[in-house]
Amino acid sequence: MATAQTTVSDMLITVKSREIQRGQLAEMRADFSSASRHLLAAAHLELVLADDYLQAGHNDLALRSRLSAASCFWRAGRVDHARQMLENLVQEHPNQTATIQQVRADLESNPTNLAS
Amino acid sequence: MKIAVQLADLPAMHPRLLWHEIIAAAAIVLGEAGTAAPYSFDLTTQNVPAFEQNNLILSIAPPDFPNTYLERLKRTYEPSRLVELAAIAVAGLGLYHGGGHEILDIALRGSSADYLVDEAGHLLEIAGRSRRSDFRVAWDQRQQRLRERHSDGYYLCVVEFETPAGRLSFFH
Repeated sequence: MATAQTTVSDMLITVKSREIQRGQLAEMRADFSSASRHLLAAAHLELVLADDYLQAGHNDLALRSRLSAASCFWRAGRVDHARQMLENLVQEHPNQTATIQQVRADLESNPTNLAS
Repeated sequence: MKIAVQLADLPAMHPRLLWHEIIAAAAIVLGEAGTAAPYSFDLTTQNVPAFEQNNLILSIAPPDFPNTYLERLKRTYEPSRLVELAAIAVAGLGLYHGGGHEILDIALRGSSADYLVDEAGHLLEIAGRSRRSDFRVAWDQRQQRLRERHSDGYYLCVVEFETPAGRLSFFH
């Protein structure tokens, strides 16, 4: 029986990155309704990517995508959901607690990342 | 090393990202320096992988945007945001012409960086300032923040649009 090969779509990664960019640009314009739409789209794409990375054996990239998803949900206004996701990640990846806490601290202090 | 570049080529240099508004912001900010296009930009380069030179003198040609579009963009974004976006354009030009590097993705929040470069996933932090006198503080703050958090390789690009000039460095 042939084994199904799992790949991670370059197109999906590109669309996800561009949705985050669209969200950032909307945040810069103070258009928070538009920012929320694009960041929610990016969050869901990150969750799809996280699963694809996991299937492909890229556990570090899967974690990164789940962290990014939580960050996008937070910035889209789904703060409680994002907090819960970050809590779950700490439970599942205790050795990555510092990284996860860094993401949460950054979101707490500057949710729209407009400090540069 | 002197090189003629087109802002309109950024989407081909870094095809994974969106560039339209970044290019337009760069056209606005460079155009406000008081010189005519193409705009000369002196970018010092330090330890950039696969690039032997110590600087890039970019002669930057903007696309021919309709004035109405540029005026709308100026009303939409605060001046500091336009400078920030213009800095991304300069960083993109510098990375491509300084060693053929590609910006591949957005960096994770909490990483103190903005983008990921090349398959190696090197962090890239970009800052833009309108005044030359603000360059040093912006550089030192970001370098310190990145140094505290990362031991792996990372890029830092800080530019100012008064001269205009900037620095692109790789730390490892």
